[in-house]
Amino acid sequence: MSSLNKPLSRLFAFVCLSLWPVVFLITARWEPPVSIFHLESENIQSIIRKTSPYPTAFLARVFQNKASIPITKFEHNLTALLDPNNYFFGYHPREIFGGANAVKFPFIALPFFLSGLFYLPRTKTGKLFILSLIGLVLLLSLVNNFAVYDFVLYFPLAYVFLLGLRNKPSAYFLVCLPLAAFEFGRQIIMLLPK
Amino acid sequence: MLLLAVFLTFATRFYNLGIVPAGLYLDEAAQGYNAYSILLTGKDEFGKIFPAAFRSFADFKTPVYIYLIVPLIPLFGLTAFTVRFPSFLASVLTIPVLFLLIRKLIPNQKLGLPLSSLTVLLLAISPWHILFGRTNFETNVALLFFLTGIYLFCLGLVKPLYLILSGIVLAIALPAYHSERLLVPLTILYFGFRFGRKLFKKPLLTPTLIAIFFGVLISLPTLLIINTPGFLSRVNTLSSWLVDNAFYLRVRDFFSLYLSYFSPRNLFFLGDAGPRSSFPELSTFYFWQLPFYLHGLYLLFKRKPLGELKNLTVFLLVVSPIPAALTRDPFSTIRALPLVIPFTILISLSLIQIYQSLKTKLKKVAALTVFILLLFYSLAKLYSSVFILNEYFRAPYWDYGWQQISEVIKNKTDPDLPIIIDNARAEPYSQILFYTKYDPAPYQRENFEVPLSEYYTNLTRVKEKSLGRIKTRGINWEQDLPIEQYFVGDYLAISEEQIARHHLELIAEIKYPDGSVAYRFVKTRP
Repeated sequence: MSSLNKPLSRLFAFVCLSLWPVVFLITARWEPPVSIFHLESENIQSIIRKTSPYPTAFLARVFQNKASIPITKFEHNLTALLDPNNYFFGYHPREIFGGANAVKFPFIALPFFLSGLFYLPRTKTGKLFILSLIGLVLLLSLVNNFAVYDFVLYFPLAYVFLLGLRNKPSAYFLVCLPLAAFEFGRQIIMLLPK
Repeated sequence: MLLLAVFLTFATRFYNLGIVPAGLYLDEAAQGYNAYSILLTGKDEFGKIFPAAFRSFADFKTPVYIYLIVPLIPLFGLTAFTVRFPSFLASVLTIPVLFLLIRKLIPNQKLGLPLSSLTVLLLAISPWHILFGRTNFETNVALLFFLTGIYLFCLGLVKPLYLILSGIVLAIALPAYHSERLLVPLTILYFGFRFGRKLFKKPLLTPTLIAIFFGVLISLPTLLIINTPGFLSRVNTLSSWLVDNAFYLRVRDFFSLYLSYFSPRNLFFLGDAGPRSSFPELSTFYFWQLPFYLHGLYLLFKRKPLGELKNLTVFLLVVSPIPAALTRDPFSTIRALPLVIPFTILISLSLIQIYQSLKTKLKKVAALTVFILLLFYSLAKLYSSVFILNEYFRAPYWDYGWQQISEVIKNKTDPDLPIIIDNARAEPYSQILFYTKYDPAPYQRENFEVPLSEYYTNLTRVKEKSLGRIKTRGINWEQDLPIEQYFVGDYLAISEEQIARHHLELIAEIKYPDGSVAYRFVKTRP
């Protein structure tokens, strides 16, 4: 991580990586984990409502059944955790109703993440790291209220970001740093109680 | 596999075409009626001779689709089937064009045939592509012209005559849909950048210049109105760039919208939020394709022997979301339809890479079995979503009921009595024109909106329409009740309480497939 020796890139990394911890400290609340297999009555009611258009009871049972509830929840959670808009834009433009929708990294950090992802498999422990990250994401997807616990992804994502900072010229950081700082300040102000 | 893809494309798009989705949305009806008007009078509903953009509802519809409907009306009549047929046909023709394009771009024959075959097979069952292949959306026709233009260009690099055809086809793609107005020039720039040296040297120089000449010539009607408020009306109504506030927020908003077109959440779970641009419980891709999408993205940048296909896929990935991201709507699959091509290529690339990496025959057979099962699962999901849930829950969004209302007008009313159709929450005049096949000539005379000299420049609208004895306007109970006439309106405009209070005679009650009231048709008793 040679470029991190440069003070400008270090400052940029600090600003980008500070946002999520600060957001976490402001918004964190304790909730016990709820499994996706926990069925609520409104989920079941929704399934029952959808059975009426099918021509036969058999078809209704095939397409609309209780098993689809945890599957849909899992799909929702997994895609939300893999959504880049979740991390860089607080799910904007399709925010989650009732969710915190907090920005986790300044959006200017995105190219560095992509660069990090590109270099990741080339590192010594890259494949193991990717497998662990996939495992973590799959595990979080089994939790209904995954947003309370997704801060565990901060550390591996921070590593990917730092990897992406490698060998970038200082001019990049000269442009990106003010934007990152501006976004950092904007997000914190928006989160603070009015 | 190509034959299977063509068969599945035909089956998934042609079955009950014109019947499913039930109803005919007002834009579909307007396009159909304008084509009918062109056929009979050579003018659109406002009396404009062969317009370059159709004024309809002052949102200025793109012209190619409407002109494609015109020759179909003598063959199939003015029906929902007819107005959706060009979309269906474009959808089917996209399959062989894409197949040939991929074959042409990949030098590696071991990869070329399976990749092109699998890509078209996945496109055949793609919910994103199926939706726009069953309904009247110009975007699908534009995509066909766009891809054909690219394919002809690739052929033209070897056989110069095709360059001229490419110029013509791309010039047709340009006004075919709003997104292509940006995509086509960007593609031409890309071609210029990538092959400029070859194009402007012999033997390609002359065909290139002829292609440019024909391209500009065909685009002239569009170019002549490019600065009018009519042409820009879509940009002005949909753009987030022009109306929002600070520069920083605009840039940030653009990037968030742009990135949302790559978001697994939007592509594999949520889909398009629009009830007419999505199917219930079905996203733009099937959830099982998610890992292959991510893997395909990785392979695209890692895998070497993809030849020119790699450049084109990257170009389409980068450029296709731009027109959609410039508008205010989050994740608009209509405007970003060209993205379906590179995404499907990525998924196919991953599937083939995984299959080819399997060492034993047993593993390959197992993989094929799983894939066939996934294919059946996808078709079952399509059936449930397109033919069952969409019909039952989304009929109101497809303006279901106006065909039945038109039949009541024809068969159950006294032809001497006036009819008032409430237009407080809808603009049903185009559906009534469509289903009653109202003569365009008197309609053009009786419904003045703006002088023809201001057709593209004056966006003033007149919402009250006169179709002989039928008027579309709000019901004024005080003034309208003392006259013997008919009222048509939804359950809010004509409630059960109003029927009882005003002693109205219920002529017909049109219901949605879920049993709720769509419209009531009543007669006054003065």
